[in-house]
Amino acid sequence: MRSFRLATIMALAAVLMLSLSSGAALAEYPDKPITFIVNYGAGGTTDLTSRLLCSVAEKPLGQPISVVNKAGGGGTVGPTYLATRKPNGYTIGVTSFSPMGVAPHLMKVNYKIKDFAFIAGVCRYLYGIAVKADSPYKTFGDLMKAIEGGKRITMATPSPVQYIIFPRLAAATGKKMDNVIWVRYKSGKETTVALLGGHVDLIVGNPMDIAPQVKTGQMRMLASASPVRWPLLPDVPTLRELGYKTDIDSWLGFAAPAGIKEARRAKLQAAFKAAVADKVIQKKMVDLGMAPMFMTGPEYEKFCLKGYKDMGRDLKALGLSKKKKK
Amino acid sequence: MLELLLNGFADVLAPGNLIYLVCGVAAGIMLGSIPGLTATMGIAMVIPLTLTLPPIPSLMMLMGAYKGGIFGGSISAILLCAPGTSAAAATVADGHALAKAGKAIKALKISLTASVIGDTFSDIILILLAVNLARVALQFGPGEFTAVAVMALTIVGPASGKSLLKGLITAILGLLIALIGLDPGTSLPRLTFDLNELVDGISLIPMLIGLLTIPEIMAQYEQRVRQVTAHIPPPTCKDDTRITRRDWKMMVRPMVSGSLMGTCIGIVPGLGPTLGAFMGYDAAWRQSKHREQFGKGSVEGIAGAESGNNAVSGANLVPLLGLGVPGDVEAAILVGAFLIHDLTPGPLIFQEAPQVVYGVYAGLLMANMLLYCIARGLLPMFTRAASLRVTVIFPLMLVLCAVGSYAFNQSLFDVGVAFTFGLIGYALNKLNYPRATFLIGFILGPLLEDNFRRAMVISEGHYGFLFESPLSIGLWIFTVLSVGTILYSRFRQRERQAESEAEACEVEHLEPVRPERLGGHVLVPQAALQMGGSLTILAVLGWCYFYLFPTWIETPGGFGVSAVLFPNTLLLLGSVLCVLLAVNQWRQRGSMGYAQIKLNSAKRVLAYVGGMGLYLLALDMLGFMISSVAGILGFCYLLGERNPKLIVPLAVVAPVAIKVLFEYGLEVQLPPMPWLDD
Repeated sequence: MRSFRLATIMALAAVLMLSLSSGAALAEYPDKPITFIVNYGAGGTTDLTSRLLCSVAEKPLGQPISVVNKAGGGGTVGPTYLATRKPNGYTIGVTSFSPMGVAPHLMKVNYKIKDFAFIAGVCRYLYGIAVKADSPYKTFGDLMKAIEGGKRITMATPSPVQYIIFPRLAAATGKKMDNVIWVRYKSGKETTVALLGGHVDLIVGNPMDIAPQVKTGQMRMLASASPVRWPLLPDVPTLRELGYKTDIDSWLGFAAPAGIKEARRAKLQAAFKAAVADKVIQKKMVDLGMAPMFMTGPEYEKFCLKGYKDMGRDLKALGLSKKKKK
Repeated sequence: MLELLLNGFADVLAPGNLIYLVCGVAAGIMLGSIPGLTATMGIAMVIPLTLTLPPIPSLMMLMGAYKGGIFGGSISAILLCAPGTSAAAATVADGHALAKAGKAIKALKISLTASVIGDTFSDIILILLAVNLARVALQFGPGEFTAVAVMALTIVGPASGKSLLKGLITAILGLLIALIGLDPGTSLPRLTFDLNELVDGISLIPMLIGLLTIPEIMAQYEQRVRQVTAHIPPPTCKDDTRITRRDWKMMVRPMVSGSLMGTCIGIVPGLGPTLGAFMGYDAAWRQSKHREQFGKGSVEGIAGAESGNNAVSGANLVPLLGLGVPGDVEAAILVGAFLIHDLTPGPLIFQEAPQVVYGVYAGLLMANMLLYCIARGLLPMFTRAASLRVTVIFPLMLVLCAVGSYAFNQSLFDVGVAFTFGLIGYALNKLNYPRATFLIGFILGPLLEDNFRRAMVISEGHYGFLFESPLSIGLWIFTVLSVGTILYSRFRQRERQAESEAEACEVEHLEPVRPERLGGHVLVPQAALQMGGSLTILAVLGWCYFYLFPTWIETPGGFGVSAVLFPNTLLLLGSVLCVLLAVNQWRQRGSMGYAQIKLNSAKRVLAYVGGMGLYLLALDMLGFMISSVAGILGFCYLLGERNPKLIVPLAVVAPVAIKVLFEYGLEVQLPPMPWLDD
């Protein structure tokens, strides 16, 4: 029995040693590796873009950034976890527009925008409206004419975020668009299949789902629903350029838990600003379907707050927001 | 084309390229064999390594990891009864049964051979027909997918085992559990109890681990091991370690049909290898002359399931290369890999970069051969690891189950899910409900409901839409035929059973005798136990109907047919089946006999369940290392393994090895010690 106890103690000691070995002395921030929480699974657009940027941002910081995926809850599990970490600048993560401005209207989340100190907005997600190559709608004008003429149009998107562009168009033009029917699919790639198979009339999607098909001549993009043109399809105009005063704007942004020292936040912001400015990284981000751009943390916070309000108004009008507690 | 393919082989066989393929395949097998680490994660982890490589070696490495991963899952399915990937779920029952009989190597070899043959078959189809087949796949819209889902649900028949009613009931339970998550019509959360972790639905991997593996471990704890036995017994004769001529004869037909099934499923985007495995298993059952062996170590069953799941992997590239549309999650990640190298998957790639396409083709065929050779080399190592003593391997398996459930989302919630489904699986097992049908229901539920809802939105609620196209009519006819053969074979089986029972009764009168009362036992009439089970399920369904669903599922205006139609139909069907089952059980109450419940076993099971709960709590409060060391010591103690010289090193080495592998090798962080979390 004695040897048992002794061995157990030794075992525990070994374990403790192993886990304490990561302790470090005080020095200038950052003096140890930074953990970066991605709120979606490995291999997706958000994950790959974040990993790209982290791999560059760690150089000026002088410490490695290790990326951890905390997927789930439609992208809300990551920020929930991040909000409860200590605000010392060693745990930061993705706080993209979807979990900040959209998800809180659809489901109960345990964080608020105020719980984060935003580091930066690093690029735009892009949205576009596309039809099949043999569709009768050659331009966005053709499509609008058909909609105004009362034709029943089926539209596939993976979430209300993309669908919302038609109610917004209706509000901007003052016309009714109840004849645009939303068919929900699980992911962007499923909407692509549905469109190519002729099972729906149009899709609103991301470059990953649309750009390759346009290049191979199977789809036609009618308009960019984002505030900017797509770097991958620079000839397609935006809705605003076509005279419709509306769009969907969504950013990839990073944050630390609220309460972080401003000097540390600024240091991180500078590191990511330099990363976004890197030409090689920009090219790779464009290939992944993003529009590389930069916003400072405070600007990104303002964007989230405004987007949260607009999204809430529009989703509520559609009956798509979560119920109030009874 | 032949010339291009030969050039492709020349590219692949260049030593600089071949080494990447070898690494990819080996990494895939290793990752796939660890429960919870899937082929997807394998590919996702290999991608960063390939960023700097030219397209051909990097794509080859990815494809190698993909193929290796799908096979690797069946290694742990056979040896540990824990499917390494969800695609191996159909292999668990038969593969592990063979391993338990000392035929582990035979089972592994059958599975490997079937995998490689299924894979090669679908690769050849891909090379010959990619673009043409892709067009056919596009014909599948919401109406056709609804028909496919219903057709696929008929697998429940063969997978039910003895009682079709029980199989149907667990399938409906699976379909109901699959309702948790986002409403397919509006993408608002339903049945999530305000838990963010449930918004994306119950994760498949933790559920698989819980349902299939944990009940197996619990069954072992129930009867404390008196003799220290090996987990996997050694082979008893030479035939146990190889595929005999008789095995070969039995394997051929299931492999052909499994390969065909898997290929067809792979071509249609969105169905995936798990379904391929079950369909291959089903096809094997339909042709078999030895149906009674299915689930108990059927060579045909393994061959069908394994050729079925691997055949999906090659065919999945048909939509990818033919249309630029990925067939499943793994293929979706491959799209990212193509794009990073400035290649656009789709029909144009055949003109833009033919050498890459044919390099990929050659790589796929090569990967199959390498998979065979590398896996053959690794099998003895895996088998040796699994031949450790039960008292050692079961505590380790529980830790591995927890880590495997945790790894995918890095969430302790998922570990809780696995343990919960472990208890559900244990109860189902005790009452002789099949667990495979539960999984089938869970996997097919979203396919059926999503597409049905879409079809109703598109057609403005006209059911005729489901029968409109020739393709869907064909699928429905196939479904009707399938149901017909199942009912016919059930009927025949019952007749035959009645005959043999009649014969048996002449020899001796079969009246269940009440066993003598022994100390430490409780005697419960089987009928009471069974009826208790069916009535409990009925009560749960009723609770769902009256209390749970009305508050969580509702119909927002303007988004198609009633959101409650599908859930309520399930509840109604399930309730009718439960009532039928209970009536049946009441009628047969006289002949069911008694169940002996040993009090000591019950105590041990309770201790084990308590231990699982404590372990989960400790993972959260003390981090992975401390709780796993303590956990292994504790569970070894419960099993009666008390030799400190054995268990103390085990309790230290195993968690350290797991931690190093996951955190440094795979960049998956295990639960940290909270006080160290800065």
